Amino acid sequence: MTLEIILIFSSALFSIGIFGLLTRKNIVITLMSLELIFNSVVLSAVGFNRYALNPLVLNDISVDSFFAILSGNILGIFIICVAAGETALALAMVLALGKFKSTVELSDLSEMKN
Amino acid sequence: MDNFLLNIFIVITAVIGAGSAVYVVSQTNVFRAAIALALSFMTVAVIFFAINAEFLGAVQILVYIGAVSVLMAFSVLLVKDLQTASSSTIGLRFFLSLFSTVLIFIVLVFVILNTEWDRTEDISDQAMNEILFEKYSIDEENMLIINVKPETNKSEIREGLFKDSIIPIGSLLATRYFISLQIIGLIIVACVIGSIAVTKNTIENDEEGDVEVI
Repeated sequence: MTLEIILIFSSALFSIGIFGLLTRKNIVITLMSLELIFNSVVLSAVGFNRYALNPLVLNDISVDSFFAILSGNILGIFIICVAAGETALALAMVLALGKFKSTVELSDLSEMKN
Repeated sequence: MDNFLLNIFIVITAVIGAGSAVYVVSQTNVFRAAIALALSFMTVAVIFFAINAEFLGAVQILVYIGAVSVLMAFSVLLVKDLQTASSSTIGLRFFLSLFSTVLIFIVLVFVILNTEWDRTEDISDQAMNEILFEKYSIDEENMLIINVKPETNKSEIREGLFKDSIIPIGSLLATRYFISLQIIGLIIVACVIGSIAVTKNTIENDEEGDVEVI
């Protein structure tokens, strides 16, 4: 049952993040919703890694199967790294936007629209 | 019943996390939203600790709570007029978003509850200790991660890794996933250089006094 609880929490975070992305227009809150979505993905990867059975491990005991055992955790680390870099870049852009355009609403940024 | 107390603990933590996530997307004060976001990250980190993923829990606290949330709070303080965000207008768009989001959630929960996941049974700490100290070791000579004694049960090996997952993760990052680690490092360096370049141009243009639209 633990796996199901974790997955339901993960999908709740994912849905809330999607909702925030769709409805809010503030850049920083949009970024926060993105972070929520990343977090839900990491959570589900780690939950699967911990509780779901990996067929590779059952089939043979070799060094290779040990690489497969913790692959969910490794995937989580990589997602966290990429998300952190992306956030740093996006917040720098928010800073620049706030200086030059004095706006942080996504609906006001439409120069490249047409 | 498999580990009833752990399930209760995770449910309570998850409710707190989901509540603070809802607070994040419904709040007009961005600073408060950043703090609630940190709480939401914290609950995820607590769940990581509860399911034997200590390394990821630590990374979550360091990177997400320590860096990302604080960065967002700082950017709120640095940019004028960012403190209060416009609230989402209640209209057709709002209800369409709500409907599709709830639909996504319902479908996901339906799939999760109706799938027969292949799962490992929960194991006691004693079994983990036995496996950890007696049945596998690190073979440094041949650069193998783990040297398993032949009589060890297959599922026991798998569980033993979770008892102390930090050493295997370190080994994996240094051997099998080495190239991926380098690429991730490259991506982060590119992100840092890019953000420095963006903010540096901002400061220089500001000092010269020509404020132009970028």
